[in-house]
Order: sequence, then C-alpha cells, then structure tokens
Amino acid sequence: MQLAGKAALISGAGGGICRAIAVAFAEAGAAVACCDLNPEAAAETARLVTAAGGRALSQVCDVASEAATRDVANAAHDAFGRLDILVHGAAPHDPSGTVLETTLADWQRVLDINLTGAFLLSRAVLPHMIAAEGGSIIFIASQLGRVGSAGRAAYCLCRGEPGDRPQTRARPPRPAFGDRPRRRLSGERGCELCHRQRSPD
Amino acid sequence: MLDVQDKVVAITGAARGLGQEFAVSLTAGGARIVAGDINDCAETLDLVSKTGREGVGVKLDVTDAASAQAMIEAGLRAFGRLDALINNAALYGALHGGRFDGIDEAEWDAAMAVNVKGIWNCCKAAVPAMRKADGGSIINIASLAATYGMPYGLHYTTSKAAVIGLTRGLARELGRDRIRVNALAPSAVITEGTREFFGAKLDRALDTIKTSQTIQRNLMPSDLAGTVQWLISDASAFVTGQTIAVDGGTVML
Repeated sequence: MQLAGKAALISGAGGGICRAIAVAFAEAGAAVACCDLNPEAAAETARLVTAAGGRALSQVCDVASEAATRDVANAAHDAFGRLDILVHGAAPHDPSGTVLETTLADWQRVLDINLTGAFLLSRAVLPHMIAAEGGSIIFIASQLGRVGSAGRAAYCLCRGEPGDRPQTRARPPRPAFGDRPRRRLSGERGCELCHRQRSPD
Repeated sequence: MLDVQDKVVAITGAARGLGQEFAVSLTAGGARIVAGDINDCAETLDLVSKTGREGVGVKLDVTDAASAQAMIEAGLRAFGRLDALINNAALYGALHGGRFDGIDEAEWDAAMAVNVKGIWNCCKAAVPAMRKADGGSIINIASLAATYGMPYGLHYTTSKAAVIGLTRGLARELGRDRIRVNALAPSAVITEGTREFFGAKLDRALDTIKTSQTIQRNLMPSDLAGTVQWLISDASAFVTGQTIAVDGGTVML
C-alpha cells in the first residue's frame, strides 16, 4: 500500500498532525507540497519530507484566500506534474470562550480557515484531479464536532460534518455511548495547537 | 506501514467469496492463515500455498462454541500465536428474501445463530490467545443491509445490525487488553453468495445498488482487501469500535 508517484498538497503542514502526515506520505513515496501560514514551519516540514526521501515544496498559504489557494495548487501541479491528494488540516488558534465572549472576528477567522479553506482548496485542486480522472480529498475533522465542547462553539461547528447540527453543550461532554460511529475524526491532538488551547493566555 | 508480515489471522467462512479473498490477499502480505469453514477449505489453501505462505484449514461450525475453540487451538498448534480474527462466516446466499411476515421462523433463528452467535462464539475462543499475544484485532463483517436498512430480508438486515452493536460493546470491553474490534459494512460484493441471495433478480439488484453509490461500479472482493489489511496492521492501532462502510459511498456514517 504505497503512494509512489503520487503528489499531495497539505495545508497546515507546519506542525502537529499535518507535519506527521507529510512525513508519512513522503515515506510512502509521495511528493508533498507543504503549505502553512508560517513560512519557517512550512520550510521545516519540507526539509523533513526531503529527509524522508520525498520531493517537497514549501509554500506560504492563507487558505482563506482564493488567490493563494489557487496559486499553491497550481504551483504544486507545476512542480510535480500531478496532484492526487489534498489534506486540509490548517486550523487557527480559536480562543475558548462562551458565545458572549467570542468576538465576531474570532468566529469569522475560524470559519474562514476551517470551512471556507476546505471549499477554496477543493476548488483549487479539483480541476487537476478531474483532468487526471481521480484523486482523494481528506478534511481533518474532530470528535468535538460530534460530542460538543463548552466554550468551543465555532470550532465544534466547523469540525463536525457537513449537515451536522453543532452539538456544543454547556456541560462537559458525556461519553457518546450508543452514538453513531464516527468517521475520520481526530481525537484531541498531542500537538502544539492543543497545548496552546489549554494554556491560559 | 500496512505491515501484516507473520501475523496469524483466523478467518471464518474462508472456503469461498470474501473469506477466500482475505486469506489470499493477507498471505500475499506475509500473514499466516487459519481458514475455518463449514465447507472444505481445500481451494483456499491451494491458493494460499501458491503465495508461498502457510495456512491451515479447519472444519468449523460457528454456532458451536467447541468448534470455534477447536479452530483457535488448531491455529495455536500450527503457528503458536493468534493476532487477528475475521468474523466473515454468515448465512447469506442460503437465506430467502421476502416480506418480513413471510420469513420462515427456523430461517430467522438460523440467521441469528450463525451471523450473531457465531461471532460471539469465535470471539470467546480467540480473545484468550490475543491476550497472550498482548493485543489483537477483530474484524466483523457487517453489511450495507444494516447501515442502509435493507428491506425484504429482515433476518439478514437484523443480524448484521446486531454485528455493529456487538462490535461497539466488545470494543469497549477489550480496549484494556489492546484488542481492537471493528466492523466492515460492504455493499453487495460480486461473490457466489450474492448471486445466490438475489437469484433471478441479481442484475436488477446490482444495478439498483450501483446507482445509489457515489462510485459507479459494483464492489469486487478485492476492494475490501486494503481496509482489512489496514485494520489488522498496527497502522490502525488507535481505531476501535468503528464500522467502516466500504460501499462506494452509499451510506455516509
């Protein structure tokens, strides 16, 4: 089960889950376009991809920008000659707070990156995938989209599945006994984002 | 990454169809196979030997706890350990479709005995060996019949829905033993069992199933091989209690 000869574009590749995905893809033989808002972080992941034996491209990308997403997709396709896989894992630091404490700007930023980013990146990569008659798009969701979490209204909304009712609750979530099975949802991540989330500002 | 090298995998219903496909694809990946079936597994073992790997065949009636125990013991005698169990044996092709109130009572009971109690029996037999191996992976074959709610075969649909509940509850019981329990929910796979199940209505049924899928072709046994290999390998070490639909995008759980 290898990815030899395939090319992937990964958003949020500058750390956490997506850096690990980038390196795993490289080990499986894929070329990886490492996109992140932070240029140094994207470059470091590209270095790790190269060290793992993969071709790499380091790109700065704000996934909320239509022009930026189109540019990185085209650049990846130009560099690798193809684009088979999109992983959208970019996620902003959304400050925890009740609905009353959440500012419109914070809310908007979470939606811009988690949701609009998924839309724009899909629009950017799909022409290449359709021309090649195949491809795979992976959005990183979260269990919080299912179980809800007090103080994380915007995040829970975005990280649930399309069509899901956001289930943010005022109390800590109960175990989802008897719930429907979950799909491709990541648990709380042992990565920088979670540490930022938990540390008091 | 999807390494199954030297893992010992017991497969029920391995004489043909999906069970045979799993036996062959897993041995090609380096696994060792214990093939159990109420029918003769000679053809499966022949195909396994062509991959240059080892396999043992066992006569198995999953409705009989002692028979399930004997299968696991035969595997332990041959290979000294057990890493995975695929609960694939099921009454399917032999069942008669029809309205819910026309199902023969004996056939209803037989569907539950094989498709549900059979999995319980095999899990009871396999778990002590997996505990000794410090972990394991159990894969139960559920069905689109349960995730979609297939009509006109209510005994089959109900039995496969029970498989999903069994998967979730058992996963919670065995997490502490590092034994993972997951289910696959395929749509109708092109196998003899499916041909027997739909009989004269096969072409129409396959066409209906295909048009409700996102990917517009029917499901082949080989389409399930990758997901099975992933669930047995350590690549899925944190995945348990899940029902994974391999149905070309029919239901989206």
